[in-house]
Amino acid sequence: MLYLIYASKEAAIERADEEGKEIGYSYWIHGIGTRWLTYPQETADYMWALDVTDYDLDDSEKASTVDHYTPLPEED
Amino acid sequence: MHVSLDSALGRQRRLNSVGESVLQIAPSAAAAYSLRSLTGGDPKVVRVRRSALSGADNEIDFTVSEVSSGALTSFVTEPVSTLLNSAYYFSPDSHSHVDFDSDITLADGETMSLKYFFDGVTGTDLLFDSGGASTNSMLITTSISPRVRINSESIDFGVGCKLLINQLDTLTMARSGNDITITTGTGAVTKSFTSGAFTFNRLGGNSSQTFQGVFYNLQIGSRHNYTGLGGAATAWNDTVGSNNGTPDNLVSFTGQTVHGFVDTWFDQSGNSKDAVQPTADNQPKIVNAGALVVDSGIAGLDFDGSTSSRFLVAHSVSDLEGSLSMFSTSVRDATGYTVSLSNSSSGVKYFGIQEGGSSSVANPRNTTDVLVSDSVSGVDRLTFALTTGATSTSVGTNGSAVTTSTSDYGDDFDEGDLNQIAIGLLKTVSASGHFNGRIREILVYTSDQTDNRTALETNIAAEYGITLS
Repeated sequence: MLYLIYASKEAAIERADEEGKEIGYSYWIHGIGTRWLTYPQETADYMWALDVTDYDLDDSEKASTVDHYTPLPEED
Repeated sequence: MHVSLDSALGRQRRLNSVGESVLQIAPSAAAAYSLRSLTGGDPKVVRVRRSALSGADNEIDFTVSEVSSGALTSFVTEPVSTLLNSAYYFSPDSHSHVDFDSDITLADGETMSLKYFFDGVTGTDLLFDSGGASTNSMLITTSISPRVRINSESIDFGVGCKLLINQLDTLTMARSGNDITITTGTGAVTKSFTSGAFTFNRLGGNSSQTFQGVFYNLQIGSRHNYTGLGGAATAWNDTVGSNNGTPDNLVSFTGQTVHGFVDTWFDQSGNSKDAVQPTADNQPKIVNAGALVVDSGIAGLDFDGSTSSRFLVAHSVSDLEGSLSMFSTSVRDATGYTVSLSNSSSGVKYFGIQEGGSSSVANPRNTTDVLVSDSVSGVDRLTFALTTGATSTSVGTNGSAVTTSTSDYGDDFDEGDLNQIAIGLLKTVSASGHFNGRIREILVYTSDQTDNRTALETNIAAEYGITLS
């Protein structure tokens, strides 16, 4: 798995939106239905990890991917 | 006004009337999800996204009758309908490939083409070769783009001509002197080689780099033509020349890479609490490998909690307080939660049903986890869970008498503690408890449904072939 790490959820969703548009999901054509391929998850250090394994990445993004992240621990 | 004898005597309803629907037996559901009609009509039940793409409408709604008639499955397989049971699927599991009688070398000024349909690569996979990746070959890299090797020279063509995934497309390779141009639905890219004499004698790769997908209509100029269609061993015979292809371990294409996913499970209660999943990777399956997902012939939504995180959520559900009842009908493969009333911003407030290996569990938590188990055998589950307050939680499966716990899960659930219905997991904040199996029906009531339990479960059990104790 490949992930891009973002400082904010909004930035991660923006990238997920971009990929969803590129794929042509229903949400971006008809306004309802599938919007994203993947959705960001919060990390242990309060960043946001987006699974981009199947994304069409540019060279800069490819160089920034990581192959794992530590998820936010569960609440007690 | 009709008053039943049971009701008049203050007893629990024992049976449902013939032809009575679930929501006629117990009409006040907060939400009700199924692939059958719970209302007696023919309601919309699911919105489905198909993996195989064709045009702009790859996601539409289906009614109960459209699910059972096969219309849903036809929608999912429609983009590849002409290939079903005609073309061959090249399976990496069995190293499917076609060997040609003799080498084929692309001549100067010649174009070869191949139609394909596939859903991705497993690594850097061989498409054409003449003895492996280190000889003359065309590989498809992990970025889904071609890499061509001619003699000792290996050149990546890049994403400008990457192959299209989940769409019917044609790959062409044209030679002009020592220039090779590859064209796909993405675009065309030309690269110069020391020699443009690309040669191959196999389609499908070797045992460690098998390409997976459907291939057909291979043409090399006007010299060789292979339909790859018709489902017979002669499908790869040369219909123009005499360089026949010998198939090995090819599998008839029945839709192995074609799936349908549920974007929305529509609420039949009338409250419009549809359970949705806008993220493709998290959507439960309803069509797998070209066929409706069924257990014993009965359809369900597949939540594969072992390898993925599939779930649906009905957001902004109010009044999940006081007495809460849930009925969950499922077929389990592994332990997980079929349904949970939970909180959209907290991972510590919920009331879920977990299907374990030998028990079904009601799991409420407002400040403290409480687990109430009812022993059960088998994988077909019809579980009733009820809480009437912080010190009263009950669970009963497949018609058994409920097990009740007086353990305190904190305060009674009040407005805002629970605000969503999650299907296929326990909680969405620090998501966990994903279910692995098929979920057939979920009913949620913001009231104690003990009095309707027998009648409801009799109806559900008859529909799904569940034996009640």
